[in-house]
Amino acid sequence: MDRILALEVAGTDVDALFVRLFRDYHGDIHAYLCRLTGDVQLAEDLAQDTFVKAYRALGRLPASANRRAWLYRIATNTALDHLRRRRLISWLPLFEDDRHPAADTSFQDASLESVAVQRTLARLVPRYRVPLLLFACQGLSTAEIARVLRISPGAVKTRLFRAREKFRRLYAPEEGDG
Amino acid sequence: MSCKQVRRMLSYRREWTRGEAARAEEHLAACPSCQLVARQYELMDRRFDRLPVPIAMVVAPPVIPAALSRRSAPAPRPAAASPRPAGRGVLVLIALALVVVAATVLSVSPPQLGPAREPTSAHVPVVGITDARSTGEAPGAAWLRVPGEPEHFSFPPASSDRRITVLLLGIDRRGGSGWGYRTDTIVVVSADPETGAAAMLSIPRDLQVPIPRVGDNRINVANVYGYTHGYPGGGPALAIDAIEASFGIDIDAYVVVDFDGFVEAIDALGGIEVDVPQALDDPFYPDPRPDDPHAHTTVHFDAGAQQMDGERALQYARSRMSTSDADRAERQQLILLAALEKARSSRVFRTLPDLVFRLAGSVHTDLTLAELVNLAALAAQIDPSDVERQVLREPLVTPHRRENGAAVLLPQWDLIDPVIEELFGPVPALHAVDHTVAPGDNVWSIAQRYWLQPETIVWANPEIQSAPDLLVVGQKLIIPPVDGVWHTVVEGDTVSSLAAEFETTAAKIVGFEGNDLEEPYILRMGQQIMIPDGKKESVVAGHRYPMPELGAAPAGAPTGSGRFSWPSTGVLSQAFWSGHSGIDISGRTGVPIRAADAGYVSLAGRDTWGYGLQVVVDHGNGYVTRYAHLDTMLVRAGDSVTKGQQIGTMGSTGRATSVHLHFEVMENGVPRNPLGYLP
Repeated sequence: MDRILALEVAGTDVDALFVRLFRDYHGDIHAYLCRLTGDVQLAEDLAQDTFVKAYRALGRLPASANRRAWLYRIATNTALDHLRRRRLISWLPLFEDDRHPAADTSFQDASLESVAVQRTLARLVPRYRVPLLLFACQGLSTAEIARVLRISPGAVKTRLFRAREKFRRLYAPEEGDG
Repeated sequence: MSCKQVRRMLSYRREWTRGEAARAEEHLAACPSCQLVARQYELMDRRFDRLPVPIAMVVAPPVIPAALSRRSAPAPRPAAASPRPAGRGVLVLIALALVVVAATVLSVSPPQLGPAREPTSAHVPVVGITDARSTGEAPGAAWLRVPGEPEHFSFPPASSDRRITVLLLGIDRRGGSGWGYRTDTIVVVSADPETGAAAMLSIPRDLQVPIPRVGDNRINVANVYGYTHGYPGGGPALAIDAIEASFGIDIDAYVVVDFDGFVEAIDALGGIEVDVPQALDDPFYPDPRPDDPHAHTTVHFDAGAQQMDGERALQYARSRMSTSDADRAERQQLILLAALEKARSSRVFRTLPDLVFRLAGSVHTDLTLAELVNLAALAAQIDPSDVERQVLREPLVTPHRRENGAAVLLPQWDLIDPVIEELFGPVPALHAVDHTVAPGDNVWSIAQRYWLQPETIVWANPEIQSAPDLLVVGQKLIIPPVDGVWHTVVEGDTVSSLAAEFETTAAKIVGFEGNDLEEPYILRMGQQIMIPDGKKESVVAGHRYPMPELGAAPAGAPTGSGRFSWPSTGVLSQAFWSGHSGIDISGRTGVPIRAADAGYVSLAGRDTWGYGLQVVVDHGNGYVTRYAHLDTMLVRAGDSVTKGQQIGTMGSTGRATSVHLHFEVMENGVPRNPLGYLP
């Protein structure tokens, strides 16, 4: 049975904690990444990356840390890194159909409103998109967002305000909607 | 206060302190334009609330469920002080990971075709279920894997004497993402713990076989169609099913690897030594450059023992100019063996998780880490020189040109079958097995695991017919080998009477090998036989769970909009089927449950047949929704609720094998598939 020990390299406590984190937050993180990137499949990959990174770093995380904010921080950085890289490579699809698979299909049945919201979000730069999503969709407090973004709570509030102002102006649903 | 200050405050309204609220309200009372902004921000929040909840799928990622599996199925732990040879377990595991990874030897796809990409829709079970209404089932939902809950299958413990077989698929997805590419390397690897025998079979990518739901096609497209057609389990599952059906091999798991994973793994091993049987010269090895995607380079390998790093090994494995596909498959097998050898003798690796994590993005498997460990233990017993190998080549396959001009290979089964039997042993008998209900199981998820229709399981287990959704952990269920009716022969039964009774044909009954029937087909009383594709009266769940008498709506009760929103977040853990009149959304205790539309609470309480605490909302427009297994209820019968209002929290009250919400939508008393009504 000594082979089982091989699995315990990281220590059982970390594993148990990781399992709990995964169970508690995987859904939220995936949803967040979906909304952040507008691409469900990509979000899945990014969520996986996020948890892999989290697992590796978990041992160094102080017990007192806000784990939710910490996970969101990893998720945010992972996603932004990815988006940044993609832009640098001037990502070109192989096929016409490939261009925006997520935008075209995954939200097909969602209400037009959701599409409009998602589209508007996509037009916000990450600087504003991230805090707005974290606050309005993911239910993080401004204090938690401050930890995610490593900025002051005051700065979070200001960004939120600017994000809302931009969103309000950009938001244009396809059809008459509240 | 200035308008700007107030608007800044409005952007985080739910955090206001009493003082902030007072100051803001004071300003708002006097400032119509800020009132407007406040309303707009409120609306904005509501729009965000209404965003569809993507139901997170974990499509068997290689790492995380592995970690989880340790929790859900705790491995027997050795005594803490148990001495062990340094890192042996790790090394062996690496050996296996390597074996597995080394199989990712890939081919060159014709550039003009490019890799096929699976449409994202195939991955998205809920956000926009395009097929839900037409097929009544959620595409993709079928291969949901609930974090922390039992895996699709578990390997027997390493001590088990069962033969274990893994399908290795290599894909070329450079520049792409996702996993729905053609599998240009297909190797079935199998090991027998009892004898230490191991076998490797390379299947040519152009082999034409019947692919379920697709028809006769090249085997390498199964992985693509599995995703695009929403096959339960996705591409690898379709590939497995196609291979199992044609070759009669029982495959336990799959591993899909891309170029990066291959290179990474070989490098992690510190390279491998391959005994190159004859020199290889390929002047047309693809070397795409930004300015010329079709560029080539020359690669050369001398005969004899050659040291190869990851990149070099990849070249050796991929090169196909001047040699045939079958030769290439041969080289891939050599690399597999070299990797196994190296990993067995290597002391390079100290930590397992690191390699697994490094490979995480490039390897896709339904094996958990724990299962890998078991496999690794097995791999340790295998001497590479004892591995039986076969590459399917002429005359076992014959070239053929289809009407559309496509060149394929046709299998010559009379030649292949003996080879399969030699490599993998006789095809396992087809008999029913027992399944013990584990936490998180439901009939649907169990049926998914065994590739059966849920009805098959209900029919085989009459005791659950009255309430198929109310399993108890530890309960034993009979799992028939194939879809149909599992029947115990009673007096007067004949093959033809059973065929008539269960609406199938006598030929199917006698033709099913597991039944072991021979002319003149006499049935014994008490004999258990499988009636393939047989049907019993359908389970109609809606009739089993009667709705309580509903009173008239109280005066002023709100009427629903007819558009529903998600009642909670979580993971879809059971779809709608004839034995389940709603959907299950799994999450954790305390997740808010929200009314899917406006209406009034017609029932809020605990029932006696297993749904625990439940709330029923009548939307006044013919629709009624039910929310069951709640942990707490926040409304009472007679209350009015608005769309999205929290009515309780998720729990596992009543008879539930895990924390989840059971959610039903009824239209004039008829249960409907909620996925067809949710955004």
